[in-house]
Amino acid sequence: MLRIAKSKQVPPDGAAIVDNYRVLHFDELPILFVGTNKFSTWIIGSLVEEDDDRKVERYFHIPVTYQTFAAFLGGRVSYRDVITNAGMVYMVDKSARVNLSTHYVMEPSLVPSQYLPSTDSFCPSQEQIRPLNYVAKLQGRLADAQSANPADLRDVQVWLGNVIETAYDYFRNVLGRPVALMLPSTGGSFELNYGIRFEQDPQRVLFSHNPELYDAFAQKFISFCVNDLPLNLDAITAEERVGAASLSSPALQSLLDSFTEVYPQPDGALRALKTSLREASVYLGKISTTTASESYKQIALLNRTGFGRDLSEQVLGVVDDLYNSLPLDGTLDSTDVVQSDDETRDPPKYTIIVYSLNRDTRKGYARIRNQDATWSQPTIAIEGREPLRGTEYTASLHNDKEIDVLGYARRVNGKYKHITIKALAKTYPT
Amino acid sequence: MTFSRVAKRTKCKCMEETLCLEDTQTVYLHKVSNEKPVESDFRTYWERGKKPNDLNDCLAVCLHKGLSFYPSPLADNVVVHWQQTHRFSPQWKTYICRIKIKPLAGLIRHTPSRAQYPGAEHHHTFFKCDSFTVDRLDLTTASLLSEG
Repeated sequence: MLRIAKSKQVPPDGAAIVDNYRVLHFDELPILFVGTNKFSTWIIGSLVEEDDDRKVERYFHIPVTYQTFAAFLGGRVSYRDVITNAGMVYMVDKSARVNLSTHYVMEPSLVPSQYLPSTDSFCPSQEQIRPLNYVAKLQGRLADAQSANPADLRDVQVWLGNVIETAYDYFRNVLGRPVALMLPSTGGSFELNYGIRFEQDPQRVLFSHNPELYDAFAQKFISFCVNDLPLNLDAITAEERVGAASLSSPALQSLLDSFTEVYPQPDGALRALKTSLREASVYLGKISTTTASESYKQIALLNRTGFGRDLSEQVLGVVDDLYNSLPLDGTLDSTDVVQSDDETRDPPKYTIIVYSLNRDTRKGYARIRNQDATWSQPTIAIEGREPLRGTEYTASLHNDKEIDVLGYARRVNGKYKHITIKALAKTYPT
Repeated sequence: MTFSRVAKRTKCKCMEETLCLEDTQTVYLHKVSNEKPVESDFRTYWERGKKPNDLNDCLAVCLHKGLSFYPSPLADNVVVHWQQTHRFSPQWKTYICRIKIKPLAGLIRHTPSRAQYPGAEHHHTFFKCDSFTVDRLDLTTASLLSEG
């Protein structure tokens, strides 16, 4: 066993893994693993050797920056390079008999070459996170001060992960089950970072099909959900068949074309695509509702590849409260009857009571009677630029007062889902 | 053959006769630290001081009381898994040992692993009898590096 001077012994604080422990390769013992120390620094560790007589196992624990951690999990940096470029190397001796660990520190240059991992010691492919990361930048309100209400954030983190998984879920038979992983937040801004990993039978060759095609589709899918879906509801709900000359929506047609390049059953592609679009839009709708919170106004979604000087980003879209206006509440299917006012005509009059209003974004919620005398609670968006303070809208908000407005409404199965308000229907006395 | 060391300090019956065989025909693969294997290369987890967290989990207890053997050629692809290990831990168990079990060395039991790695379904556990010594095995070794 490699001899280490007693003087190299250190307290466990920096070396010991206390959280996020995950074994990446196991062979009788944990061979390769990751986790975080008490300072939340990522550590990549490996088994070095065993002393059968002393009944001690020795491990390397290498503290790394987030960038190095992501590069290693992305398969871009070998474990050998991680060690040789590390600032320090911890050696951890674990005694099987007394359940005690002893920690040592040494310079990477002093690690004997025969102990260094091989040059092809890359993260096992089934544990790799795709080199493409998804980033959600929270913008506005508290997020601009690099903080957020934990309750607002908790659900959003899950929902965004669900959207990313949905984008890859078509291909689970090829790639494995997609798992969106939260990665450490990037320093200096309020960003939620996600990686995607595929849980797969390791005997299958991972990504034997060109993985970039799947990434390309997933990016298009997310981009479509955020940017185009609100404008293409009719095309999505319409009963159209693949094989028709083209879909009425060019954006949906483009997405479908990308999808059929990688989806194994072209005949069922459109139906599968619509199902997933509805699923993703439900999560985006939920995220959209939280934009009324104090934490942020909107979330910019990006993908990011590379790191350091090779870092590149592409904006996929911005989730704001627009999704509130969609009738996508998880129940929409092809049997739903969607009715929208004809916007080429003068806007009809509606009587509403505003019960939630953001004066900056001019968006909020209102109550309105349906034809069957029940109530709907549609989202509202008030057009115009005049300040809303002291207007009939805020009077309605504060006094529970009915007001008449002119606007275009969208109804699903007779229930109001959204009203775009053009103006008040009459001049109210001040 | 007696197996009092296997039965010692556990209620688990690792040696149920219907499941354990004396197999002197099959060639098994086992990973070792020495080119010329010595006694320590055939120490069980239990003998090395490692015990499962739950001592009532008889599957885990019995795995700790035996040695991992893989039948060849059925489980030859386990070498791919070991070579992966070797990339990260080049000083740990660098040799593959090909073994034929001589008569009266011990009993072997098929204990397929639920873990997902090549050859896992062919995992066997070899239980040494009380009088086991290394010369009860017919051995040849090759290094993992040369296999690569």
